[in-house]
Amino acid sequence: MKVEVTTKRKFQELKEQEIKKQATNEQEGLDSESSTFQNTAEDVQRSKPLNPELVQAASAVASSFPRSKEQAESELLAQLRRHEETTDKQRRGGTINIRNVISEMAVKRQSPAQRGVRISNRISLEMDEDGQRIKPGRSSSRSFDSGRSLKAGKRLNIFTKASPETENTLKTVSSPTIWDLEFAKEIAAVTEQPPRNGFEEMIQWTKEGILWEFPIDNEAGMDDGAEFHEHIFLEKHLKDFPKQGPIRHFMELVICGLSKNPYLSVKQKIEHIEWFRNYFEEKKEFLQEI
Amino acid sequence: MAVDQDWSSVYPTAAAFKPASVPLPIRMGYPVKGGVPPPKEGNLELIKIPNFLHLTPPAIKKHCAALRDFCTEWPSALDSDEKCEQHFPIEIETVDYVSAGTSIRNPKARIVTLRVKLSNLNLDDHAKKKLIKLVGARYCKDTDVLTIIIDRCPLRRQNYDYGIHLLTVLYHESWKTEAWESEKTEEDMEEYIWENSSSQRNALDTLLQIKATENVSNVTKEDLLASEVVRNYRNSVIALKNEGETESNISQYKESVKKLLNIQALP
Repeated sequence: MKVEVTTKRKFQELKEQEIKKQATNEQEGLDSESSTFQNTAEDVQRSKPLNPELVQAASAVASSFPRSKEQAESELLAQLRRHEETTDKQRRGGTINIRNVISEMAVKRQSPAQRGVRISNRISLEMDEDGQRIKPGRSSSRSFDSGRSLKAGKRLNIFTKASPETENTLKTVSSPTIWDLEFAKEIAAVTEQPPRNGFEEMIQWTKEGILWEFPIDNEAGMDDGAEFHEHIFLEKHLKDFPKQGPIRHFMELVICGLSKNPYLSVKQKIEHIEWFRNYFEEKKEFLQEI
Repeated sequence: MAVDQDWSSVYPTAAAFKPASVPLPIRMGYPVKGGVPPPKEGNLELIKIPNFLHLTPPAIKKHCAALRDFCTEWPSALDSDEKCEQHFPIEIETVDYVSAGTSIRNPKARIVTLRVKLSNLNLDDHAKKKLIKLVGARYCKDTDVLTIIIDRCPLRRQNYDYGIHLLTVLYHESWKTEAWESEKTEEDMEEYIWENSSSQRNALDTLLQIKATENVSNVTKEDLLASEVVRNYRNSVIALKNEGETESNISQYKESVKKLLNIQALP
């Protein structure tokens, strides 16, 4: 989009607006995954209607432009709307203006020593000769060496400070974390010896599931907790059927067959009976005629 | 291999045949023409087949010694079959199936067989007869054993529970007497009862007629029933009907009839 201006003041204004637009673009690009203008236009439609004074002011500004007045006006209005949104969001206290944050930062030159520490820290999951990890304390001490300390400097307000109690409770509740489990697995994998004899190999295979557990239980893993009376005494499922007549007779035969069937689970047997119930419900009209 | 080496450490678990480890001069295979079976070195036939080199008797002794710590003693009070039967009259039989395959499942594993001797159950005459009628072919008369095979449920423990439930229900039902049981006819009887049977009626009528023609004073039925000839006749008829026709049964019947009708042997 190109907005041409004549005066320096307007240029300044529009420059700031552009910057802000880009900032909100980036911000919304960070918030949602689209940074195109069209999507923000959609957002515009969704938001609340703007202050009529602002609208008038925007149209006045746009009318002062030599070219593409409507486009400018629409873009200004869109920008205003985005302002409304951001103010709402920030009133609720959610968003961060990344632009402000990034402006404070500068690209830091890494000393080769620090780079080496970083890389070696990444590879340091393998053990040293003594079998000890490279202590993370070393890297923090190195960071002091480069002249910039962790505690000094302006707070960036990126993270909200959690209260110490919640930290403690988090520690007790979320143990063991997934990292603890991985660490434990790592230690077990490194310290295990190959099996010394055939018996230890068989133990290892049984743990892995390669060898069956002896004495063999042909029903290992098949138990669903049902009792024999749930399989055999199925009359209680016939409550909704008529008490006399051919339907009852038929359903009693169905139940007799189901009770002798050892290959279905209780749930499947109940489903069978349900199917019949639904079938007879549907055909009720036909049956009444008979 | 040294002569005094421990063989169970050479083959602790099932392993393929290693010709260098096994010091025996074994030959296996189809003999070469005009020759002998091939030797053990590189002999695939020996490697293919399963061997039991890991289960020599000393190795098994060691296994047993190791397992002994996990075992409990057989109760000393149960030193004979009769005592076992007396204390544990119900026998449950289940089968586990092992096979070489990917699946551990076998549908035959759910079958439970329950065996009990009816003499161990507390049944009176009516209850026993009713129970036998209820179970039908599952009762063996010669050994007095009731066998119930249960396989209606998918799992073994469900079948076992159902079996115990069935036995309990049978026992209690056989003790109850229903109203319609009084309509039991002669065809339903399990054994022949002479009292109130046609044989008794015929015999008594015949005797009464004989007595009437001889003009003997009124002899009552009870006297006749109590008399020895009638008793003999009764026993022989019962024996014939219940046990079938045997040589001794028929001769006994002949004697009793002769005595009853006072038929003298032909001179």
